[in-house]
Amino acid sequence: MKRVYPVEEHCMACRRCEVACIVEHSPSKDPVKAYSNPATRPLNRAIFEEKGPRSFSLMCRQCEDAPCIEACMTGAMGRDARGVVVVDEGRCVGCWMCLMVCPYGALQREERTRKISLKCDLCPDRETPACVEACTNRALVFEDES
Amino acid sequence: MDDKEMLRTLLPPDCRVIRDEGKCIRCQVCVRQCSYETHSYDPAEDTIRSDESRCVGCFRCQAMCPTGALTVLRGAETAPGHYGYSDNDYWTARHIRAIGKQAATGGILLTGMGCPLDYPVYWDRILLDASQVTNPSIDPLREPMELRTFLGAKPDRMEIEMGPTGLRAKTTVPPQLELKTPILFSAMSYGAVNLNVCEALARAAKELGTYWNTGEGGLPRSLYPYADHTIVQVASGRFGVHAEYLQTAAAIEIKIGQGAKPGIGGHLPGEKVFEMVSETRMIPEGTDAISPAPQHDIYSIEDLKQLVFALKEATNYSKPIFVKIAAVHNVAAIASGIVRGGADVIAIDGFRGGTGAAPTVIRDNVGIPIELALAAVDSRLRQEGIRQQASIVAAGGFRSSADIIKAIALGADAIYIGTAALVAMGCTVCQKCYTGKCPWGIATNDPYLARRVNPELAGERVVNLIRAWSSEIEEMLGGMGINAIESLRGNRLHLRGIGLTQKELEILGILHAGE
Amino acid sequence: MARIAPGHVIIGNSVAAIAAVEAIRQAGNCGPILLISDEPHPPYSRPLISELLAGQVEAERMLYRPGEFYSEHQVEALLGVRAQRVDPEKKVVKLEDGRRIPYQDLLIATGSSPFVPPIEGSDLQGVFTFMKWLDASGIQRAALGKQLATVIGAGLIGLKVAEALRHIGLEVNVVELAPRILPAAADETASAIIEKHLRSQGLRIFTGNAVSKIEGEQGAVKRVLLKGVARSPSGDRHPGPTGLGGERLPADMVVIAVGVKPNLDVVKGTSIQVRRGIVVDSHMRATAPDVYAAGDVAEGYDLIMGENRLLPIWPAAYRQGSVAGANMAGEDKEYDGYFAMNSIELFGLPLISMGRLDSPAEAGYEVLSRNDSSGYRKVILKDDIVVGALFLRAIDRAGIFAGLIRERLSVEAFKQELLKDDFGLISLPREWRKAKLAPPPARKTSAK
Repeated sequence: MKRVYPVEEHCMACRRCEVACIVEHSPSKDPVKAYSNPATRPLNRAIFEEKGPRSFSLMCRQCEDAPCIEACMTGAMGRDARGVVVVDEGRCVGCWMCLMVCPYGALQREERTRKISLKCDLCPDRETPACVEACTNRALVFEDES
Repeated sequence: MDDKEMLRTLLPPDCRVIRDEGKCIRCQVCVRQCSYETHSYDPAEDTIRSDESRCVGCFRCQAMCPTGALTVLRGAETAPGHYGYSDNDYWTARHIRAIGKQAATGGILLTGMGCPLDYPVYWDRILLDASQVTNPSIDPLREPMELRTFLGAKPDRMEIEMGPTGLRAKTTVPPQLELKTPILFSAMSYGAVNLNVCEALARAAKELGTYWNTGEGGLPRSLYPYADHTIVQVASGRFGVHAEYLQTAAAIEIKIGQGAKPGIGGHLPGEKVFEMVSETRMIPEGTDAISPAPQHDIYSIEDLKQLVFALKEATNYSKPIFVKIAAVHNVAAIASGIVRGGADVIAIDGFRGGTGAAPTVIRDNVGIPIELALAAVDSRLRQEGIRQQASIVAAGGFRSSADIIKAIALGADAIYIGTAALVAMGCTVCQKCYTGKCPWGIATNDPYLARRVNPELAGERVVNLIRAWSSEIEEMLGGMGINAIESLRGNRLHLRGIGLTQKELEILGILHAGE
Repeated sequence: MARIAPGHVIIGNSVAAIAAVEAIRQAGNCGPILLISDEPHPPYSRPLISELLAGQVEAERMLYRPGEFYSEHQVEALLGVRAQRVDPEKKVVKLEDGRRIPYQDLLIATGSSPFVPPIEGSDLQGVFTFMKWLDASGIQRAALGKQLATVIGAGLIGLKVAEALRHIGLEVNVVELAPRILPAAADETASAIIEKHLRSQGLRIFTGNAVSKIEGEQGAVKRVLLKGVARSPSGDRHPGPTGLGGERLPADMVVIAVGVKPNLDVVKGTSIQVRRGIVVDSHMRATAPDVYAAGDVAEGYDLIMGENRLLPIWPAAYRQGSVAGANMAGEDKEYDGYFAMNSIELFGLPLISMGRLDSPAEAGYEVLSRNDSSGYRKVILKDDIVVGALFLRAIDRAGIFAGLIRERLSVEAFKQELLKDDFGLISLPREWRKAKLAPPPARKTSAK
C-alpha cells in the first residue's frame, strides 16, 4: 500500500501541503471558500514540524499493526476499502486514546463543532494525495513500501 | 544597498506587488517564501502587507501562491524601460537609480547574471539553412544522428597500421573528452551556488554523458563520485586546488577570464561564505573570496604555457587542459597564443555570460559578443593552420538550441551553458545573486534557502532541457540534410545574416540572406 | 442437543474477544468460532456507557463493531448465556444452563467486574455499580426525577459516572478513600488541578474518606454515612452539608466505583493457574493445554514494571486478544507487553498519563515537569529513558512518549526539549527519523 513519506532534506517549510490538505477536505474544494471562515476551516491533517532550517510534514504512517485501531474504544478507527486507516467521524467521541498511543503523534484534536480525532485519510477522492501534488520540491513522496 | 550606509537616497520602490484580495487566503506561503521579507502577516487585521521597497522582482511569491493572488511587476533595475521613468530614453531609470545609490554609499554597484542591455544580439540576426530539392532532408526519428563530440587536441594526421587483431591507429591521440551532445555545463562555483545545485549539475552531466565545471569553488567531497564527469577549474585565487582535486577530474580548466567581468577576478561576497564553502575553498568563514585579476604566476603567454604543461605533467598527460578566456578585443591573437601554448581546449566566454557577483559597470560595458569572438578565433586558427590543435568551447548567454547550432556552424566544437541551466532549475534572472538571498535556493548557501533546490529534481529538469535541445539540434541538422554534427562544425555556408552590416558579415564570415 | 464439533471457543464478548475473532480470521483460519457471553448485547464499547448515561450517544453508537460482525466473521454467538466452569482435562466448557461445549482451543476473556466492598446497605434499591450497558440504562431510569447522587470512588470510572450524572442534572457528591482523586491515574499536582476544576463544575468531593453505611427508607437509598469528617485535603471545610464526624449526605442513588476484579469464577478449582489473574506466557497461553487468556482477566507482561500482572486497560486487552487469536489460528505470535495508560477528559479538561508517575528515591530517576497556563506536563526518566509521563490539558503529541517508553530510546540528547510546546519528532535524533520516516531505499534515481 502506498504511503506518504516526508523527505526532510527537501522540505522548505512553504506549507503549500497544508493549504492543499485544507482545501481538499473542505466541502467546496475551493481555496477562497475553504479559508473564508476560520471557525469552519478544515484543519490540516498532517503535523508540520519545524526547527531552524529543518522541517517536514508528518502524516499518519499507516502502520501495519496500527496501535490506534487497537486503542480505539468505540470502533471508530478502522480501515477503509483501500486499507487506509481512517476515523469514522460519526462514531468517534474524542476520547483521545488513539492520540495517546500513536508513537508518531499523528493524531490531532478537532473540537470546534464536534469532538473527534483527526488524521490523514490519504485523500480518498484522489489518485495522488493533495499534499504530494502541492509540494514543489518532492519533500513528500507517495510510494509503496517495497 | 547595504545597511552600513550613512546617507540614504529616497528612491521609489523598484518593483510593484499587486495582491488580489479576493484570491488571497492568508495562507502566508508568500510571507515564508520571500527571503527579502517583502510580505508580512498582520494578525490583528488578518491581512498580508507587502513592503514593495524590498521586492526585487524574483517572482517567487507569485509562483508559489496557491491561488494565484499575486502579480509582481518588475522595475527599472531588472526590466529596462519599465514604469515610472520611462519617457526618457537617455536618462533612464536605471541610470537615475544607480546614481542615487552611489550618492548614498560611495560604493561600487554590484549585480548578478549576464548583461541585460540592448546591445545587438547576433544570434537573432543569423538564419539557418534547410534542404529543399537537392541534398534531401534527413528525418531524425528514422535515421541515426550523430551528436557525439570529442574535445581535445587532434593530431595533424592519423597514421594507421595493421596490428595483430586488425587495423589500429599508429598515431597517439592526445587525451579527449567524449560528449554525447555538444553541450557542457559552464563554471559555476560552489559558493556562488550551493551544493544542491552543483549536485544537480553533476547528476545531469553523468546522465547525459557530458561534463560540468566546478568553477573556482573547489570540488566538494560529496561530489567526488561524479569526478569522471567533472572539469575542475584552476583560477587565480587557486581556491580548493590540491593534488587529489587535479588527479580525480576528467579535465582541468585554467581560468584566465570570464565573459561577465573580463579583466577582474571572481568575487564571492562574505555573506555567502558558510561553513562548507569555507572548507571546500580553504578560506575562513564570512570572508570575501576575491580572486585576483591576473593569475599572479601568469604574466605572459610563456608563463601560461608553463602552467599548462605543469598541469599536464602533474596528471601524467592523461587529461585535456582547458584554458578559459573572456571575449575581448584581440581575442583571436590571444587564442592563437593559447593554442600554441599547449592548451587542448580553448573556452571563450562572451560578454553575455553570467556571474554570481560583478560590478555592474564592468558586466555591462566590458567584453565583446561571443558570436563575433567565436567567428574571429575560428577563422584565425584555421588561417594559421592550427585549428585542429585545440577544440573551441563557446560560452556566454546561450538561450536555445538555435543559438547553439549557429555557434557550431560558426566554428565551436561545443557550448558551455550556465544561465540556461539555472533557469531550468527555477532562476528568473532577477540579477540579485550577490545578496546571497536567492529565494529560488540557487545562488545562496543559506541553509533555509539552499534546501529549496532538490538536486534530484533539479538535475532531472536540466537533463530534460538538454535532451530537448539535443532533439531540436537533430531536427535542425536533419533539416539541413546533415546527420553528424561534425559536418556542420565551422561550416559557415549553412548560415546567412539578416540586417547585418557588411563589416559584421565579414567578421562572422557569412553571407547575407538572399545571397 | 446436537453434538457441536469442537472448534475455537471464546468466553467473552468485549474487546479481547473481538480482537481474537479478528485475528483468527485475519490469519486465514476458517475453523468454527463459538462465542459465549453473559450479556445479551452484540459487542459494544464499555467505556461509552458514561456517554450513554450522559445522553451524548444513543444505542446505535454503542456498538463496537457493526451488526454484521458475527456473520461476517462466521461466529456463532451465544448471548445472554453464562459460562460456569472450564474443564481443562476434558476440554469442555460447562454452561450455567447445563450445556457442555467442547473446544479445540479456548480463550478466556471474561473481563473484570466491579469490586463491591462490604458496605452495609449496598443491597438497597438505588445502589449501582458501573460496568455494563445494563448498569447505565438502569441508572438512567433511576435518575429520572431524582436530584442527589453519591459516587463512591474517585478513580477513572467514578469520575466519569459523576460527570455523566452531573450532565443529566443531578447534584453529585464523590467520596474517595485516598487522600486525593485519581490516585493511580494522576499525581498530586494533577489531582489538585482536576479537583479544583471539578468543584468549579459543581461536584462536591470528599477525599480521605469512605462511606461506612448506606441508609434507606422503604428499601430505597436515602442517604450515606461517611466515616470521617467531610474535609478537603487542604483541611478546609467543604461547602455544603456541615456537621462534625460521621457526616450524613443525602442521596437518591449511590454508584459504587472503587475498582474492578477479574472474573475468575470460570477457572476456580481447575488446574488453570491463577495469581491475581490468569497466569499466561508470552503467547497468552494459560497453564492448561489449548487454553488462552486475554484482557482484564489475564496477567500479561507489563513493560515498565518488568513483570506479568493485571493491566485492565483497553489497548492491552485488544493486543492480548489479538495475539491469543493469532496463536489459536496456528500462527506464532508473541505479546510484547503493554504498560499502564489512561486518557480521560472531565468537563473539558483532558488528562493523559502513562507508565509510572512516581519517582522512587533510587539512583537514575529524574523528574521533569512544567506547569503553566498551557497545562501541566511531567516526564519521569530512569537512566535517561522515559518510564512515565503525564499531560494535563497539554495532551497533543502525548503518543510520542508512549513510543519513547516502548522503544526505550535514550532521551539524553534532547532532554531539554521534552516539555517544550514544540516538542515533536523533530526533537528526536535525525537517524531516528531517517529509520522510521524516510521513504524506502533503492529508488532508481534517474530522469524519466
